[in-house]
This record gives sequence, C-alpha cells and structure tokens, in this order.
Amino acid sequence: MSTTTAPPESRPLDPTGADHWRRWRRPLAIVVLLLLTAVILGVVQSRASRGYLDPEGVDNPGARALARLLTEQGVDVAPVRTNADAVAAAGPDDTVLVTVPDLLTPTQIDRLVDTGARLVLVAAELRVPDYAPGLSAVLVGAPGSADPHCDLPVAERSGSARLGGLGYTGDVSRSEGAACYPVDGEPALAVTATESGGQVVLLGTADPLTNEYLDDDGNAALALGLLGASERLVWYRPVPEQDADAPGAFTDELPGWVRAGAWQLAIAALLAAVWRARRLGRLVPEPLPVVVRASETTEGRARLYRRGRSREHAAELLRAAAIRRLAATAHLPDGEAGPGAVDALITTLAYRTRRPAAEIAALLTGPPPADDAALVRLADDLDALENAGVPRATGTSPTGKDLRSS
Amino acid sequence: MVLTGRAAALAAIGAVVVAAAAPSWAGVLGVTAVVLALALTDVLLAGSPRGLRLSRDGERNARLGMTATVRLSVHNAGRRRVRGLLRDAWPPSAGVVADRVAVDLPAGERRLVETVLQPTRRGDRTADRVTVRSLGPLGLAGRQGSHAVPWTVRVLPPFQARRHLPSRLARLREIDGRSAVRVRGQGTEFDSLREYVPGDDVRSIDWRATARHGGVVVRTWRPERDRHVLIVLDTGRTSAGRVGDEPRLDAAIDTALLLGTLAARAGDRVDLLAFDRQVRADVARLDATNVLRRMVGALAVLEPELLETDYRQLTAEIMTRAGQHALVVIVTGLDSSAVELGLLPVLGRLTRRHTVMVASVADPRLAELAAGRGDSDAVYTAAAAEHDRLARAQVAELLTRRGAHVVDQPPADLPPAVADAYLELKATGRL
Repeated sequence: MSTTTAPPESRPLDPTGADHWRRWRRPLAIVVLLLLTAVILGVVQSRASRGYLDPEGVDNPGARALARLLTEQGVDVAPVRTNADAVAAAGPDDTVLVTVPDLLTPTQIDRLVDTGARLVLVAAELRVPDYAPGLSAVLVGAPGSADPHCDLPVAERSGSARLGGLGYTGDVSRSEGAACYPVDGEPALAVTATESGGQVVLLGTADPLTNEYLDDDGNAALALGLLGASERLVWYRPVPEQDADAPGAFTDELPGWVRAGAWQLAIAALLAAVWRARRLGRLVPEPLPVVVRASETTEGRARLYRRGRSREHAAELLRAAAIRRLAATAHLPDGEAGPGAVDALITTLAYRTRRPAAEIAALLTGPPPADDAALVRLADDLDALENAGVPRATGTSPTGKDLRSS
Repeated sequence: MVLTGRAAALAAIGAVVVAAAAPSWAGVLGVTAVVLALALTDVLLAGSPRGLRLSRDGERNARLGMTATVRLSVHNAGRRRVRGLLRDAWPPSAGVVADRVAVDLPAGERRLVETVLQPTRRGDRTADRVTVRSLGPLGLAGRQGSHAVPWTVRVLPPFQARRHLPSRLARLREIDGRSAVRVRGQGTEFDSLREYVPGDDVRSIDWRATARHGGVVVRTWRPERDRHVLIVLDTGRTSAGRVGDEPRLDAAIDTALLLGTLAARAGDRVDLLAFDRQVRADVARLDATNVLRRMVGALAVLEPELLETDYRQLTAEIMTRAGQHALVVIVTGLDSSAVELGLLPVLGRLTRRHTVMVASVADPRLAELAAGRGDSDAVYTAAAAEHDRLARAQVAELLTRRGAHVVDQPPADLPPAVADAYLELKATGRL
C-alpha cells in the first residue's frame, strides 16, 4: 500500500477548545450579565421593600418605625417566621403580634393560644372563631379616621385612629372585653379572650402599625399601647407551613445505607443517561422524494360522491362506462354516440341476450336509483348485462386502452 | 468526551460499596469522584480521533438492487493508539449493511474498512461523516470525533425491462432482413436489386431493370435507418404519482432505456430529453456502443418535480433538437387536465413535422377500483374510477385524432408496448 493517500482526503470536523470558546463566549456573557443584573436588582429590592409589616421594612407597608419606637421604649422585639419559633419564644407574659393570622392552621393556632401569651391579630378574617370563640369578622368600610367610643384605656389615650376594613361582631364580654372604634356600626378593634383565657386583640387593619400611617392621628399611641404592654414582643410574620406533627416523608424512615446507596444508584443512572445520550455521529437526513398515490384524486372524488350521496351522478357514470364498453364489443360506434346509437345498442343487446328491450333500456337509460341499495343493484345488473350480452372483451379499444379488468 | 456503559456500571457497583462501607454523603461523593477520576484518566489516555487521516476509494456506480463496495482507508497519524468504534454514516437509502466497525489502530498504522452499500433508491448517495469513538485503556470513557470524507455513489436505474430486449432485437432483425424473412412494407427504403426467385412478391418486380438486364429482377427493401428518435421524459407533477410501489417516472425511465437501446441498435439516432419547466437531462447522439451507459448515467439522478410541465417551452426544445422529421416519444401521464392544458394545444405543431407517440403510465389501481362492487362505498368509488377512465379515454381519443400514437399501459407493460409500437412504425416505414 502506498503511503500517499488518494485525493478525497479527510477533514476533522470537531470544534477545538478555541472554537468552543469562540462559539459560547457571547451566550455566556449574556447569561453572566443577566445573573449580575438579577443579583443587583435583588439586593436593591430587598433593601427597599421587605414586605408587609416587616420590622425591618422601610417602605410604606413596612413597620420599621414602629419596631424602633418599641425598642426605644424598652420592649424586646423578637421577629420570628415559623410557628415552632413563635411558640418557643412566646411565654404567658409576652405579647405575640400575628401579621397574617389567617395563614395558620387550626392546630398551629391551638398551639399558639396554649402558650397563654397575649395575641394581637392584624386583619384576621376566616380564622377569627379559632382564636376568639364567639367572634366573627364582617367587612366594613375602608380604613379611615375613627373615634374610640369605648372605655378601653389605650383607646381613650390614643383618641381617633385609622381603622376599618374589617369589623368584629359577637360577644366580647368574656374577659375584660372591649369593642372600640366602630366603623359602620361594627367595632374595628375588639379585645376579648381566647379559649384558655389569654387576652386577644383583634385589629381590623394593619394601617395604624405601618410606616405610612404611624404618625397620623393617634395611630402611634394606639400601636405602642397595644404592642408595648409587655416586656417582650414576639413579632410573628407567618409563612405557610405544614403542621409539624403531620407524617413526614417515608424516606425519613429509611436507614442511612439505603439512602446513600440510592443516591449512588441515581448517579449511576445519570452516567448511564450520559452514555446513551451521546450518538456515534450525527443523524443522516434522507432526501425523500415526493410520494403521492396516482389514484389519490380518484379516491378523493369517490369520497365526495359518497358524502354528497350523488347517486344520480354515479349511476350516470357507471352507465356511460358500460355503454362505452358494450358499444365497443358490439361493433357499434362509441364515444359521443347520440341517443340513436344507444337505441341501436339496446336492440342489439336485446337480440343477443333474449331479454326484453324495455328492461335493457331501463337499465341503461332509466331514471337514477332511489337509494344506495338501488345503486348497488344497478352496478351489479350492469355487470350481469355486460357478462351475458357480449363475448368477453379481450382486445384493446382503438385508443389502446384496457377495456375492462375482471 | 464520551462515557461508556462501563462507567455507569462502575458507579452502580459503587452503590454497593457506599451502602456497605460508607453510607454517607462523603461516601457517595468519594465513590463518584473515583469513577470520574478514572474516566478522566481514560479520556486523557485515549488516542485522538483528530489525528486520524482518512481517505476513500472504491465503486462510484451501483445498479439498483446490486451492492457497491466503498473502501475507507484509516491512517493513524497521532501519537497514541486509537481503539474503539468507527461509524461510516450514509443516508438510510444507501442501505449500508454494517455501518459500525471496531477499530484498533496503533500509532502510525493504516487499516482498510470496507463499507458495503445496498441502495434502495435511484439517485446520488453522498457519504455523510465518518465518526470515530476512541476509548481509553480502561474502556470507561474516551473521545469522539468526526471527519468529512466525501464520496458519492450514483445508484443507477435497474432497467427491469431489459428482459424484453432480446425478443425485440430478434423482431428488429426480422424486419431488418438480416434474418430470412423480408417484409415488403409500404414506404420502406429501397435497398438493392437482385434476380427473381420463385416465391418473391410479383409486385416487387422492377420492370425497367428487368428490361435492361434480360432476366427478371426484383427490388429488395430494407427498413429505414438513420432516423431520428427523440425520447422526451415529462418530469412534471404527473410523473410524481406513485403507481404500485414506484413513481411514474421510474416506469418512464425503464421505457426510455428499452426504447433507446432498441432504437440505437436499429441504427437510428437517439436523443433523450427530460423536461418539466427546464431541461433536467439532455443526452444527444446516442449510438449502439454507449447508449445504455450514457442514458443510465443521465437518468439516475432524475427526480419528479412538483411543477406543471411547460409544454410550450418543451415544444421549442423539441424543435431545436429535431429539425428534420423525427419520432418524438413523449413519456408522461394521461392526466386529463394536464394534457388538455399542456400537450393538446401544442400537439399540432409537433405532428406537422414529426411523428408523435405519447406513452402514458396507466394505473392498474383504477381498473381495480372500477370493478369494486358489493356496497355503496365500493360502487361510489367505482363510479369515480369510471369517471377518470372515461376522461383518460377521451384524452387518448383526442390525442389520436390529432395525429399522435397513444400507448397507455401499466408500468410493467409500458416499456415493451412502446418498443412494439416503435417496431410497428419502423416495419411500416412510418418513421
């Protein structure tokens, strides 16, 4: 064998490292830019807006101002997010501010109530009976300046405050209850007791606590009075969570070696996927030719006849074809034969088949069939006439076309 | 880089190790790190497919239904041994029997890989890439790379009508007078004079020569030679219709091959033209020695186009190719609308100067459908089929009336029918 290779010499096609870099650097740059933007935006956003009644929030719905005031008053503010933390942090002498009371499940509410801590609930609606039996929430007018109209010392001290949104109706007299700041006739601030006897304060709206309205009316005095009553304030901003005593995933019950083995098997499966995913070279496309059945249009026309139930047309065609073939084999002129030619054909056929001419005429030129069954019969009768009336056609017509296949 | 099943298997065995010896995250990480490190070593030790030099030689033509062998020479110009799998990729219709072969190529050596093709369709088949997967010594992982090694195999039409050729050639010799029988046809060419022997047709006695010569002298005749036969293949949309298992065009190609071979052997000048809106194939001045090779080469790559054939332009092409009287054989489909709009208007121009034969690939399915009976669906279908048959018959009649010879036959019967029609014209001296 010669050492020089024949003309069609190979050319490696796979990209080198530099090619990869050249190809991917722009998408990579775009992704990095996007990530950077997202991070920067996230940081800026987290400074500005930390959410509703956040003790660190400086935007309108935040409550940093209130938290600062409370701390200056010597109240120990303890922000918590989970139910377990809240229950652990709250003692019988403490106050718990629940910013979204409706987010807690009945079990979590029970556990919170059982701590015996004083509860301040902001805009509680659906879960009100779970916290304070005998009370329920009703919708009242939007928050606005309201007067106390009650003898609750805090309320009397504060004077008018921004309240509304939700009102609390029901019996508040179980402990030293109070119903203050009526809006549309229903108190927007209710003080009552939980099942276990702890005090619970229901506040119809968060407005008096927020940065936005804290310095209006008597809002600040009311908020400080409600939340600063005890040494310690547990600032509970609930997150949706499952009941802690719900059954855990079954994987928690498995022994450690099973889990470790399963993870390793998963890695093996991943490697197997990588192994199977890589093709040995790319797929080769096949330049397919156009494939249309030549009889496609015929079948389409057949479907049209069928759908339109055009028996008249179909019968006409079958008759025309039969007349054409019969005429060719009966040595009569075919093609655009006039009625005279058909009459001649009928006479010939009647003579050959010894059937009445009227019957053959009805078959070849009669009225169109009344229904599909009649059409099928007509086709069969035409076949019978062709078979009986003439010797089987074996040649070809003058045009060289097949006369009829059996 | 590529991984193999072995790497996955190793990781799976690692699961046992983790479960038994180190059931912790650290164990999982450790085992996976070992597997990956081994795989990486394998990749680094594998010979690079980039270092291969490949070249091809072998057959460039294959008749449809036969096999062709293309050899691939693989030379390892790299520094490491290349051991693994090689795939010589071809399109599916090239019918590669085995496109994957194991290769084991020490540095500097050369191997020959044979690829056997069994094409399933006519036309050019171009090799795609050659991909080599080179594995490391452990067989856990390796590298993969592709090379472009161009090669094209032209798959030639099968010429199934070849079996009709001997009988037609015998018939031709009969007409030609090389055999014993001499047919005196009207209008055939004058050949020579010879003495009368009993049995000769008295009508062929040449009285003037007899008077000069003294004995009775008859004229002998021979069929015309050196006539011009122009075969035109319509590659427009009607040729795309599939009849049976193949498009009409394939039957047309078979017809052209049989007629062209026959006519060239008969001493006629044969030209071939394939046309839809432009010339797709054009082979001129075929003679008996090269007719088949040149026709087959030109027709191999012909594909039906979804275009309406431009018969005006086609007529112009025919006129420039055949200045004198010629036999023009148009192989098309007798689609009534296509013929009425395309061929009929220009037929007069053609027949004025030439003898025109229209060969059409008929669809036997039409007859099958027309014979359908039994329920209303079948009868409606039969009526539709009769409609199309009537239309075809009418078109054929129109063409016949305008002076064309029409041959309308199913694919298998068309080539011999056209050959017979040609011989008939030749015997009667109407070329």
